[in-house]
Amino acid sequence: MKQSDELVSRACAGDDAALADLICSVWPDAYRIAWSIVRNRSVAEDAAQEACARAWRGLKSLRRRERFAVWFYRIVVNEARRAQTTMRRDESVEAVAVHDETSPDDRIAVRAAIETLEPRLRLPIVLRYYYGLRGAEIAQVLGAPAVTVRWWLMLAHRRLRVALDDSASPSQHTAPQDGRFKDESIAAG
Amino acid sequence: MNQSQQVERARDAVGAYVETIDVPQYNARAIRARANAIALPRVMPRWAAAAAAACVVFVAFVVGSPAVRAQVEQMLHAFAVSGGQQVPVAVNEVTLDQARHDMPFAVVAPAAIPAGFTPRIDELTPSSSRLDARLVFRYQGPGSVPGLTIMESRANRGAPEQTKLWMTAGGGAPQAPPAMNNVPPGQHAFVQFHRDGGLTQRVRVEPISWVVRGTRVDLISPPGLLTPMQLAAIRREMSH
Repeated sequence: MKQSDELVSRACAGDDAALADLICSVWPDAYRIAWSIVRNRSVAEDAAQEACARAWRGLKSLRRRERFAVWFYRIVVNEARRAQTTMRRDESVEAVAVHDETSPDDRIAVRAAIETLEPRLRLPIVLRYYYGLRGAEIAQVLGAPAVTVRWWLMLAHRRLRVALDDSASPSQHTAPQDGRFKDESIAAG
Repeated sequence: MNQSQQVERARDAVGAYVETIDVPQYNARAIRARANAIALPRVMPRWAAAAAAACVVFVAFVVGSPAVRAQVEQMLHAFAVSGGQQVPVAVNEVTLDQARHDMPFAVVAPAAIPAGFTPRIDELTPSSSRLDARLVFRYQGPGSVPGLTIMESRANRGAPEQTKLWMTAGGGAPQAPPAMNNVPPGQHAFVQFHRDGGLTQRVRVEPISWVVRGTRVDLISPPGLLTPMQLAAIRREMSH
């Protein structure tokens, strides 16, 4: 999350313009996280809007402003999960519009591998690598024990390893000697 | 590919995956409207929150005569004490659909109730405010007086209050509420047995309380009626 501490502080202090700017700036994050969970455009938009509305109303009660990102992502995850439970299963998966034909084949392959991950594995990977959260923060966002999050990350890495290895150029391709994919996020968890 | 290269490629791939998710346009008006519709949680000092919790769940059941419980109709009466004032409470038996229509909160249908328990649903509506209405599911279990009771109410209620229920067995005119002196304050429920106007037995019950979808649920089960696993199953199934 790229929101400045100053913007968060001003919003928390009751600056309505800052609050509007802050919510606007986190909207893409809210939608993408919600979409990663529900995989349905309208349901994800609904959940993201609800999360933004709740953040709007509840921001003044946030005591540790440096924790804004984790606090907000947690709201989004909760709203998306709530929306998911009310969504019929056959509506849960939409055609995935993330394939960019201009991308190299290997990137398409890796992204397809991410797509095929179960939500419980995909979201921790997204939070780790795109949003830069540490393991403990991911655990707070997902409401799961840190050890469980570390396990999910490890499973996700294992599943992705095949796609990553396959997509690497032959000159770069070297399988890990111990057959396991060790990642900095696990050590940092 | 070494480990750092793998990490870098994973980061790159995840970034590409996330950024190609097509984000709909930000709709400030819709979000503002939703924000205005969300009721702010009441912020109150810790001591006040504790006091509210202590008062809200105080429930007492008084049964005229356990011995004749099974043979006669039981009548449920209730009153509320709010701000020191006793408030009449209307008691109406309803169906679940009626309750869903009437109640000012999301009714959580009881689930995982063990077989053999027959339900009755009563709306408790104080004359002071319909917003403070409660819904009571009473399950008469085999060999227990009274049975399992589930009370539902709005989670963000106003002033703390006490709700007292009592049942008379044997029909006839409603009796005056029995004295409930010497009941210590706290988040408890009591089952009291009266005979010939005198208190014969009082059993303290620890209610199990939780909030789901803005509804506060209080589960009250006399000791020994249900196992901890059965109680946990009810709570789990009623927490969605």
